[in-house]
Amino acid sequence: MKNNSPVKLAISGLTKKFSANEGVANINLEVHQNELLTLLGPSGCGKTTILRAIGGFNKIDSGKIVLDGKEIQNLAPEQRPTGMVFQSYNLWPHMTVYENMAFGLKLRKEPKEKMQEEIRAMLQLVNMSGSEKKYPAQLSGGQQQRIAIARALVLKPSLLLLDEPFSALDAKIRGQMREELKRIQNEAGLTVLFVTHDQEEAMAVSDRIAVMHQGNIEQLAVPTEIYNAPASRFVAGFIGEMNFISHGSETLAVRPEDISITSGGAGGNGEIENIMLLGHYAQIFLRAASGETLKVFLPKERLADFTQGQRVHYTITRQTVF
Amino acid sequence: MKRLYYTLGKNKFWEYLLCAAFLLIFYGPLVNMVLVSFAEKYEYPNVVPATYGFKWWNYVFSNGKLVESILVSLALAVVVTLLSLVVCLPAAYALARYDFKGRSLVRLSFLFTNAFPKMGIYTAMAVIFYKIGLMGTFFGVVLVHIVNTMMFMVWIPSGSFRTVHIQQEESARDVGASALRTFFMITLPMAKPGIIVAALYTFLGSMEEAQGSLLIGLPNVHTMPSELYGIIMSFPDTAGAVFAIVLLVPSVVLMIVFRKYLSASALSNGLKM
Repeated sequence: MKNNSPVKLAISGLTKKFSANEGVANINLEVHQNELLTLLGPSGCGKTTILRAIGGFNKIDSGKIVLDGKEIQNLAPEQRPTGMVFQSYNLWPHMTVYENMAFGLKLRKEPKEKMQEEIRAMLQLVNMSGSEKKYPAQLSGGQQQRIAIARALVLKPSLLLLDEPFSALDAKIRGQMREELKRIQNEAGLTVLFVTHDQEEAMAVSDRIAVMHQGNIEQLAVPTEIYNAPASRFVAGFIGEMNFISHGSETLAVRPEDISITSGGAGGNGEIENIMLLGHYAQIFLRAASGETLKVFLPKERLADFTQGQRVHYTITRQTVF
Repeated sequence: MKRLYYTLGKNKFWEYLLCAAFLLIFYGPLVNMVLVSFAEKYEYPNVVPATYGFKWWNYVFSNGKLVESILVSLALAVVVTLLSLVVCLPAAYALARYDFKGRSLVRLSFLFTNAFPKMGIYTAMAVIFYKIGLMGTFFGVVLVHIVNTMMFMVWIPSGSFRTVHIQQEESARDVGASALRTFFMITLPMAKPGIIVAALYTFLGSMEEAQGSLLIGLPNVHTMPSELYGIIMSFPDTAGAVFAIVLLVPSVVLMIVFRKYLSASALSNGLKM
């Protein structure tokens, strides 16, 4: 379990306010060695604020950021052992891929042969071998992001900071890049702090996810726990699909796949309003006796048993109560 | 003519005719000037000079005062360009990057010197320059020229700086470059096209500025354009033509050398509000 590995980054009491409503207050967070931790939340939730504070691009109001046992909150960005990749415009268009990657190494006065070797190896890691002489404008968006990641990694950062690095890419490329990131992280043994608003992406790549809302971390847990046992109503609604059923003074949160239906003959407690086939599963809208409409997922093999307007029995197999 | 009309087709024919008219209007006077500058015997009824030679070229280049004015003008243009780069680039960068109160007012203020009749500003400057002893000095003329070119030197580079994304600067900081190094190795090279265009404008503007140079510079500082006034009034046309061509040469050379930077986009970026 990565949770048992030593703490790489420890943030305590981090506060950064842009105005009364904007910013983050009193954030505490630990990232372990070789862990990929995701800050997930809607735009404006403060996830990027935290990431930029770690990278040194936001001056924080108060709090401590400890990386590898050293406090870094007062260092300039160039003095921090972090590597950052932004959503876009990472590369310098007037330099070739090689020059882009060599920029930081030259500042560290690395010998030329060693530099060439490291750049070649890093390009291989991100599947961009042989692109040294190309200019950024000659590369696709996905390729540019690979180079940006390689440029950060060639400096062997203690912590890799990714600020929505795939958000500007096409859906298909985005999926590929996720897999690549996971592979690169494992191969290079990286500690990564990843920021995204895409919950699917977060689920796919993360060891742990911190779900953020209005400047607070609402839940910090492994993806399955976030999905199966959301700690708050916000998390329940933000991650995946969820039915909210009012039940007296309580609200039941039920995943569409946690409602099972059987054909109920004349009786039954629900009626099928609509059936939609979405690839390997179908989505059914069910009107419950209470008048609420529920979303139900059904494996496509069972679809033959049901038609629109049919009376059915439904039972909830698993729920979270708020 | 009729044959030509039908061979080319109606549209093409008028296009060619328009093009010919443009060429005549743009280059006619230039060609005439070149012709006149090489004329030795050129009397009234003749359309073109009777004999050609370097008589007036020799005259201009053997006249110490005129040669000196060429050197003064070149030195002025270089100093004005460098100094206004030093003064205006930081202002341009600040206008592009920092969102401070009254930013658009500051931006607009650089237009003021170009929005009023120049002579009024020069006279006001002359009054102050008299008091602080800058009248008739090289540095006084430099200041007058900078007042003129400041708008271009701030606006155009500012537009170029705005095309440099903040992430590109932050990435450089991230890999270990200081703020100053980032500016010189990332921001400045990326903004280079706009800066070159602005520097070109400044250089050429300084080369051809006459009013202010006359008022502030005389009697000690003689620039080419201010000398040109004297030549036109006291020598035959031919000497004036020679001198005008000498004045034209730096412009043409610079335009050719930096032609790949002279795009409309560099200009329009700077003039976006």
